[in-house]
Formats: sequence, structure tokens, C-alpha cells
Amino acid sequence: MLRWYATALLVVLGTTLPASAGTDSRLTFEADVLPILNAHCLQCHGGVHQKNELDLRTLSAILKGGKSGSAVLPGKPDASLLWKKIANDEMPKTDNKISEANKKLIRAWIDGGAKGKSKSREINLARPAMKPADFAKVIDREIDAKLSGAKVPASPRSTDAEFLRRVYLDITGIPPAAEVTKAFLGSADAEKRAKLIDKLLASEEYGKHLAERWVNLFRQMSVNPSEWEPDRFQGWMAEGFNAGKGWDATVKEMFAVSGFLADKPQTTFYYYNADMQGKFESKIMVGNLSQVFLGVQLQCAECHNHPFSDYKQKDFWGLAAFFSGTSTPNNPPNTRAVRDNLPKQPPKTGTQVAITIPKGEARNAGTRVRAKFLGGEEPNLDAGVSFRPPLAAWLTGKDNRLFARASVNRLWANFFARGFVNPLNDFGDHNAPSHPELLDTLADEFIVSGFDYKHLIRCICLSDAYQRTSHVVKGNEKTEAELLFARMSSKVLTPEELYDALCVALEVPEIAPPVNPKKKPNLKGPQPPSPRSQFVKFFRNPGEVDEPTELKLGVPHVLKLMNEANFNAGGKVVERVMASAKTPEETIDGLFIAVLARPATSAEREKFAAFVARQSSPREAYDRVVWVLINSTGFILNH
Amino acid sequence: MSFSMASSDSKIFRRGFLKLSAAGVVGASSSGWLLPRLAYSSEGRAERPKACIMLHMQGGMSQHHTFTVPEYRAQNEQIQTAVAGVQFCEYFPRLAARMGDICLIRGMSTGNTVHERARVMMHTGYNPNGTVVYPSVGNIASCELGTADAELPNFVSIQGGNDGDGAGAPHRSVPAYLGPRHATVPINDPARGLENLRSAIAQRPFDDGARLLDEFETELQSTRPSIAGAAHQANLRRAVQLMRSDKMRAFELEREPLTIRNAYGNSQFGRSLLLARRLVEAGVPFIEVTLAGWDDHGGALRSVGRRAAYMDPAIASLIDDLKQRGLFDNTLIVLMSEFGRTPHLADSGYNQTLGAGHYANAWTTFMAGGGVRGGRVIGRVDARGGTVTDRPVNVQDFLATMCHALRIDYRKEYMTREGRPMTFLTPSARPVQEAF
Repeated sequence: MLRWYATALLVVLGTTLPASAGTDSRLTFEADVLPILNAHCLQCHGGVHQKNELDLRTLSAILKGGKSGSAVLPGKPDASLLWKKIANDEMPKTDNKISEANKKLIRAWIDGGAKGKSKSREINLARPAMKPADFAKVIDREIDAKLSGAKVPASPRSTDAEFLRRVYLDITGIPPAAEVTKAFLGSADAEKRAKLIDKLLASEEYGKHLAERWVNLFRQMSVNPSEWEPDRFQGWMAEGFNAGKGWDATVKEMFAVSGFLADKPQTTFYYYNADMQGKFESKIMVGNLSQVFLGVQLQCAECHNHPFSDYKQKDFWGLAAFFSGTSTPNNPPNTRAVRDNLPKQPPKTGTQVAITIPKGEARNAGTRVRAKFLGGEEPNLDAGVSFRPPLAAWLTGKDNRLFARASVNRLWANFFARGFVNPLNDFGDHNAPSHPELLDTLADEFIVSGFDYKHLIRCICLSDAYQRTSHVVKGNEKTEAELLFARMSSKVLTPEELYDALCVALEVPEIAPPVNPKKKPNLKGPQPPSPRSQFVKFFRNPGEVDEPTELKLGVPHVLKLMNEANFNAGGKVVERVMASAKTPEETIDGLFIAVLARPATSAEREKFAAFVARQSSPREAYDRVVWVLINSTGFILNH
Repeated sequence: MSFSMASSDSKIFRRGFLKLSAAGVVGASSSGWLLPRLAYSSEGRAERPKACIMLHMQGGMSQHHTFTVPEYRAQNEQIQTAVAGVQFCEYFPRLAARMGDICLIRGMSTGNTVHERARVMMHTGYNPNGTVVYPSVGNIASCELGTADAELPNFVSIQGGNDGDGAGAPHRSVPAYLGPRHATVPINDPARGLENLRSAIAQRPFDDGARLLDEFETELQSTRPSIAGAAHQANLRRAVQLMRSDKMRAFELEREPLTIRNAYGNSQFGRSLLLARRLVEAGVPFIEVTLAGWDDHGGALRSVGRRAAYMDPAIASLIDDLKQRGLFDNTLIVLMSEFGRTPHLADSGYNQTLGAGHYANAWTTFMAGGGVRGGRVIGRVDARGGTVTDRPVNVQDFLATMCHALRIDYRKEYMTREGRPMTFLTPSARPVQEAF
């Protein structure tokens, strides 16, 4: 019966898939096959369920097979169980069937020998860092190769104005003021872009902005809504960035810290890994550290083995064990600190440190798990001193590729809206990078430069890829072209960037929220937060992480920008421009430069001048012009 | 946020997207602007989608001083309700008269007595675990009952006042894997409604400027298409539509006859319930009204009495008003808290006055309307009110009951961005069948 069935199957196959289905020995499991299995099969044959004892997450597990034997016989698709099950849609059992094209691909892969990826890349970490201009060329070579392979045309170089606003926002978080724009556009210096990059990287705002981004990420990932007065921590990190301190050193100090907030501003980092009552929790820390600093979704393994990758529950708790004695006293602020509860009598050295999986939703509650680096060894720890410094050293070490790769992927996304791996916190064989070689090359360069973000940013900003216009050309209109970096993607301004941009555009030092006439000002109590933080609080939805490609603003935010008096009165900019400009056209140009950091096109100039001419009061007309510009997509986004 | 455009909807943009013609405002006669109500009542009630008004008593509402007065050492008199054998605390005579419409759940047994955690749990069904973020029932309702292109938001949270110690920051629901368009839109003051709905300048120059913005945007998006840009334009369009829509009148409480306003009462809570009713009428599927201040460690006796003075008429009027408008059977009213308060367990010490401490083992919520059977009492507690002796209800079952009433499939699968399938409630969740 079974034989009859198999024969019948072959006949069916013969009719649906001609012999020309193909062989392709260049196909690899990780790059080509695993994404398909991930979408269709791993729900039942992955980390959570392994029906029929079959695990399809790795090539070795597939070759080993389940109850019914090996799932794949290399070179023999018709004899491979995997093929037999998917060919006639017996599997998957859900409606989520595998497309004919993907089936063909899997067959061709088996036919070609069921190969995995070769792991032959040589890493040379003894070399010095490259010159930024040279490394920019390395970046472009990799990007351009992918573009020509996909036959997608690259957009041309950006205009000076486009580049200026972009690089100001990306490096400092603040768009250029009107006089800066005029000077830059007026300069004939051929090296002006490179010089500007150097100037911005040397400014205080560079470190402040990068630190604000990182601390915002920690805050947004925190389950505790407290802000924990982030200024000192942010200032400490900014100082490091501005001084050219390596990211490895900064992160090491963040993880290894012991002592009081008063002496060590980075203790605040531990408070962002506290539970809702403000109590530090090792499992929250491991969930966040794995996503942010290793780029992997280890948090799934808190309760069960990872469904799509090889991580085990003991990998999660193995990391948590390093934080097993760590605590953070809560409130008042002057007592904030990070400490370890260590035994008073130091036990023998070489003790294995372990943690017990607590009762709750997790499987295997009560099991002891030894401290273990992810994908590494179980170190011998001295139970008399904090276990966190050894963890910090491993985490930020040159050998930990996960750290370097996750760090450069995040940095790249700051500039290009997306990383090579997206989501940024989901590295793994199931989610192959778009530019694997470039990702590794950048990670190498990051390591040999001493984990120097400034160096990497200089390289990135000098590349043609970064300096491309965001305007489409024929053939690169689709979003897929953005994934290949054929043109610059538009990025949503963060609430902080939006506030700063509004101050620059309106030429005012701050934008105070409107006063409620019914409410009496409270002169005795605590003073309200700064206008900037009130604005940010209104514009950022709680519990959400900033994403440059996704606009998280909604109608309430737009209503505020459209209707609040602050944004209807033209600010100081209208006065200044009207006082110096001689014609309506000049005034319009001046306002465009101040708000959008570019002159108006001739068509725009004409249209806006006609609008102004129709209005009875010039001042009110120019107020309207500013209103139009700050509410436009061109202002809300960084192109 | 809640009524921002789906970010994938990049084709929505077209010339004239702000639709500024005056035609949009026509038909806004003062008498009949609530077209849906008229339409629904003529087509029959079954056609009207479900809506929910959830009253969140933040801080921990004492069951002993509200709807489950203990037999042992009660601090209040009990009064007979409209249903034989069911008594309320003397503070709530009007609600007692409407017990025939109320389904009381006396066996809430939720096990969490930490404010923030219990609050999250009562909204999401889960104890916050620090790794997975869960949406609230309001976000789920926005997703399942809301209309994608509705002018009004699909989930509104109204701050109904703070009368005492709310114990921490107000709870904010997070849409999590449902996406930002199912976020809640907060209303800080019901009398002011949605902020910034009116322009700071006159309509004529506003329209002129909007028209110029419209033309300017048209050119931008054609050469530099982006999903985020399209979403911004959709937001602009919806904001302008809302400003011109007769639906924004839902926020104008002064349009309500004085008799109705008086019935709800001159309190922030009363105004919040009146606004909630107007929003339901205008098609908003989920409204949460938070009354903060219930953390009565100093004793609940007086403070609940003070609150009851405005709560009792407001909630009773809400029930009457919905009934009178034919909305009651399709609008679920839920009164809940994060936990209840301690019974007399010992007879001395801090937090041992009746109702002074946090207590989650036996407390009370109620539902009314929305197809829920009135006049019912589900669950029983012992004489001290400290132990559920019959029919305990946990958080998952409580939320499943709400979903059941609202016709929401709480086992529907959603995908997180990381590809993890999620359901609102766990497979073990069961609606309390006796409520229907």
C-alpha cells in the first residue's frame, strides 16, 4: 500500500513538475531554504513543537530527521521525505501552503546536494582601521554589486541642500539654521561635504544625539514607565561618544557597574531593566540585553526553547545567572545604586554560579541552570565577587561577533532607516541579512577601529550610498529598492528631532505649551517639565519603540501641529525674513530655507507668491506659508 | 495613534486629499446630526455593532462599601435592590433601583495586589512579564469592532477625575502587536473634549492654507513616495475631515439638553459618562472612563460615600439614557477595578480597618447592557467577604466574558513583527455563561 502510494506520488509529481525543475548547487540552506521553512513549517517542526520528532531548524537536524527517518537525501529529491510531503501539499496541514515557485526551489536545492552555507570567511582583526574615504568605497562596492545583481538602478547624488539637512539631522538631531544653509549652498568648496561631516562629528551635539537615541531605546524597552531622570546617564554616555571612547568600553562599564548613582551615572541603566515596581529583574535584563546588544530574540527562550532558532531555555537562564545576586534599591533618588548580594563567607574559588528557573509561566521551573555565555563556555566564577564584570568582558569582547554585528546593524539603520537585518533585534539563520558580506566587513572595521562609532559614521556619511537622493528614478520606485539602498529612504523624525526642528524653523528658543487660563499656576509645588519634554511626552506613544520607517503619529498629533497657536503665528522667522527680503519671491525663498533648509523651486515660488498675493494681509499670508511648510511631509520626514 | 491610517495604505493619496469643499459639512442640521442612531433604529437593533463603556475604578475599589456589603462587621447599612435578596451599600440607591439591569460578579479572584501589575492584568489578561507586551481589551476592541476609516477614534480613554489616591500613574493601554493605529486617544478633560479640534485662526485663512498645503503635498509625494509620507498625508486628511465633520459635535457636551446634563451631574465623572454615551452614539466602539483615587488606605467609609454621591446618579443616568435611546442592548457597561479591598481578617493593626488594604481574592465587578442578563448575581462570598464560596472568576474569564458580549473572538491569531502568533486570551479562558 505504502509503495503504491509512493509510486502514485511520483506519477503525480511527474505531471506537475517537469524534469526541467532544475538543479542548483549554489542554493544554500540558510539563505534560500530556511526562510521558506520558517514561514510554513517551523510552527510544528521547530523549537516549540517537534511533531513526529522532526526539527527543521538546522541542516543537521533535517539530515538526522524525525521518527520517519531523514527528511532529506542530498541529490535525491524524489526519495526525500521533505519533498514528498510538500510536493502534493500534504504538508503543511494548514492553509498556508508552499507556493509552486518555492517548492521548485527546495527541490532544486535537494537536487544540488542540499548544501549549507560555507563558513570560510577570513577575519583579520590584526589590521589597522582603514581611511574613512577608502572604507566608504568598500561600502559602495558591496552596495553597488547587489544593485547591479538585482538590476535596480541607483538614484543620483543628492543636492547639497538635501544632503545638508539629512546629515545635520542624522549626526546632531537638529536641522541646519537658515544662515548655515545659505553659507553651505553658497560655498564652492569641492570638499565641503567631507568638511561638514568632520565639523558635525566634532560638535557636542553629535554625542548628545547618539546618547539620547540609545537611552531612549533603553527607556522604550523598559516595562517600568518611570523615566529615572535620564539626563546624567545620557550626559555620561554623550561625553564618551564625543571623546571617541569605544562603544565596547561604554557598554562594559554599563554592565559591570557597582556603586551609587551619585558616582556612577551608568547605574541608571539597571533601572531601565527593572520590573513595574522598580525592582531590578535578571530576566528582564537578559531579554533586553540579548535584543539590544546581541541582536537576538532570546527572550522567547525564557519560557520555552526558541521556535525558529537553536536557542534553548538554558541559554536564557545561563545569562540570567550572571545577574542572580544583583539588586537596585528603589527611591529616593539619592540612594539609587547597583549592588550584588554576595555571600559573607567567600566560598572556594571555582564555584559554579547557577540560577533556579522560577515558578510561573516558564517550563522546567525549579531547574538549576549554570552561568553560561551565549554560545560559549560556562566560566569558573569567583562566588565572592560580582559575576557581572566577566559577563561584560565577554559581551563586548572582540570574539563576540554578535555584539559587533548588532551594533553596526543598529548604527546603519540610524542612517539608512533600515538595517541589513530587520527587525534590528532578530538576527539568526531564519532571517538572513540583505548584505551579509558588508555587515561582516563593517563589524570587522568597527572592531579594529576600537569600536569607534565616530569612525564608522564618517565612513558611512562619505559613501555614495548615503549621499544618494531620496527621489526615485525609473526602476527603483518600489520599497524593495530601498532594501537594496538604491535611494535614500525617508525617515520619520523622532519627537525630540521634531521639537528641535520646530524651534529651528520658527527661530524661537523654545515652544511653550499653551496655558490653560482656568488653571492657576502652581508656584510652590514641583515645576512642570521643560517644554521639550512635555512635547516629547505628547508625541511619543508609551510602550512603543521608535522606528524610522513607521510614522507613529496620529490625528491628535496632527491636530496639535495644525491648530495650536504656536504653529499658526509664524514665529520669529516671518519677522526676520520679511524685514530683509525685498520681494514676495525672496520672502518665500527665505521661509523655505529657514523651515525646509532648501530654496523653493521656481514652480513653488510662483504658486506661493500667487497665494500671498490673494491674501489681504502679507504678514498673515507668510504665517500661513510657514504653517504649510511645517505641516508638510517634507518637514515631518528626514529625506 | 488610534485613527491614523494603515501604514501600508500608500495608494490612498490623490489630488485634493484634504477635501476642503464646503459640501462635506452640509446636512449637519442641529436636530439630526446623529445619523447612525436614526438609521439603526429604523433597521432594527441587531444591525448596530457592539460598543463598550468600561468604568475603571483605579486604585482598588472597596467591595464592602459598594456592592457586596459583608455580613460580619459591616460599616454601612445595606439597602434592598430591585431584585429580591440582593443588597447594595446604602450609598447607591439609584443603582440599587436598576439592579434589574445589572449582572453582579461577586467572586472576582485575581490574585494580584500590586497596583501597576494588577492594573495591567485586568486590562490585558496577563501579569506583565517584562518580555512580551500585551494589548488591552480596548485595543482589541478597536481592532475588531472599529472601522478603519472612521472619522472618530476607535478607542477613547477619558480621565473621569481623581478623587483621592490613585496609587501611581494612570494606566495607559498599549496596542502592542496590533499596531499604532489601535492606540488609545486620551481625553484629559471631558468638558474640553479632543484637544486642538478648532484652529487658532479663522476658517477662511485656514481653508486657504490647507488648500495650499494640499497642492504642495501632491507634488512632494509623487517624486518621493514613502509609506511614512503617505501615512502623514492620511493623518492630515483625517484631521481636517474630523474638524469639519458633524461627528466632532460628539465632543460638545453643551449641545446636550440641560435636563440630561443635570441627570449625569455636575462632576468630571458625570461629564465623562455623558461624553462616553455621545461617543457610543457617534460610533466609537470602546470608551474607557477612569475614576482614580480609590486607594483608600485610610479607610474607605467616608471616601466611598463622597464618590458615591456623584457616581450613583451618573451611572444610573447612563443606563437610563442608553435605554431610552435604544442603545442599551448593544452597549456593554463594565465597572471594574484592579482589585478589591481587605475584609476584617484580623481585628487590629494597619490596613485592618475594613477596606483599608489591597485584596484580590474576593472582590466585585459588574456588567450591564450589551446583551448581558440583568438582575443576576454570579458568585458568593462568606460572611466576612474574604473568601469566594461559589463561582470564582479569574481575569481571563472576566475578559472572555466581555469579549463574548462584544462578539470578539478572543482566540483569533495575530502575528507579532517577529512572527510570533499571539491570541488575546489563553486557550483556557471561558466566558462566564451565567451572565448571558
